[in-house]
Amino acid sequence: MLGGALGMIIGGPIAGSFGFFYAMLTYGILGVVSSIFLIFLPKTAKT
Amino acid sequence: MKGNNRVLFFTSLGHFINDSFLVLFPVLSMYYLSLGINATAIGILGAVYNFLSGFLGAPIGRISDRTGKYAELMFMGFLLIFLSGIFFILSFFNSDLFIKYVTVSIASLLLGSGLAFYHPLGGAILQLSYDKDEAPKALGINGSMGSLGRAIAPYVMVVLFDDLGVTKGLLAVLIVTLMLSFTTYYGLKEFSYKQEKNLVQEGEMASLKPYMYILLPLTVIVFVRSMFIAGVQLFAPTYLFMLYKSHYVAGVFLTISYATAIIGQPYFGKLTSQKGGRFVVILTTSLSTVFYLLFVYLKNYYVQLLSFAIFAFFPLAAFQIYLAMYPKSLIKRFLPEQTGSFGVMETCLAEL
Repeated sequence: MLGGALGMIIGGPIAGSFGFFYAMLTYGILGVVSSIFLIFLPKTAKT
Repeated sequence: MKGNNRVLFFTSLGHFINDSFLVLFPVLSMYYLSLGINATAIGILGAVYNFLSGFLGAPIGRISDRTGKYAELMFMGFLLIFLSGIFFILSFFNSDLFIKYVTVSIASLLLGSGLAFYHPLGGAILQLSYDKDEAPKALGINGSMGSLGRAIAPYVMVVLFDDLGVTKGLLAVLIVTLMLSFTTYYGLKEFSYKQEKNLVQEGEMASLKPYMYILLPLTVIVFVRSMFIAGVQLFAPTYLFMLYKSHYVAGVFLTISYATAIIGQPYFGKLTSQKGGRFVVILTTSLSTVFYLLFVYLKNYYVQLLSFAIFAFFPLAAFQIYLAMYPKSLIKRFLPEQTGSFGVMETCLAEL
């Protein structure tokens, strides 16, 4: 819920200052960042 | 109607009502910009309702477990949603910008609080009504009714708002909601359960250390991804409205996209059990990003519609995929089998 709230907060000022395209682009960058972190996922989960 | 079927029917109706309102604020955002409420304020107010709806879930689950008043609490949640709708309507009546901000802020607080009630309560009622083997199926049917509500709502809302005007359209939505809320309450009121104790005990956070090798990267991925998805869900309608100058087009986009999640949820659940959590996490996280970027860059109606629908197909189906990544011993220990309280797993997965 903190992540969701933070995501909503950062888009507003970007949309207000640069336009909605750049706000949407920022979310795309966040998507790329979350994809980069995939390399840190362990291959197998210890039970 | 037999006891369990009755519970499933009315909790599913409740889920339908509740999740329909998850899209209310993003849809209204399209209209608020033209009333002079700026994008920053929309982001902050969206964050307020999003945070409250997640944050209040655990205490509501604990209260319901203690008192057994699931139907009453669920109805209270619907009443708060109804009240939030009244404040949203009031915000369209007054021309004073300050009053608009005040009414929209109160409405967001009420909406966030109201949306916090259903999920811990509906899940708990079903888990207490069905035995272990039947509960997942019931939860699946119930979940798809929530997805259906979220899919239908944007289209219905924009058609009503454009045809009747936002105030009358929203009033019509609220009247139907109130009737369905009463129906849900009367359908569930005779069911009362009390929990002896919460299965998740305090102080167990300390014993999470052995699991940090997987909790840490997963939490970071879930956190960043939830920033991405929540932001898109809030601003996508307004972005589409700016592009196509039509509330209706934005509503169609959202309805088609959320409808793909109804198929995505069971599909990825099945794929996870076949291929494993890690494979599906990598697949869904990376592909949803690729299709989202296509949606942003390629400004053709059909290409955008297709890419946004595929994007929505992935992330909304994420809960069971992430859950499959956790070691079984951790899930057994911390995921309550029969409680509305979510405990540690909620902390890790709340964003979803």
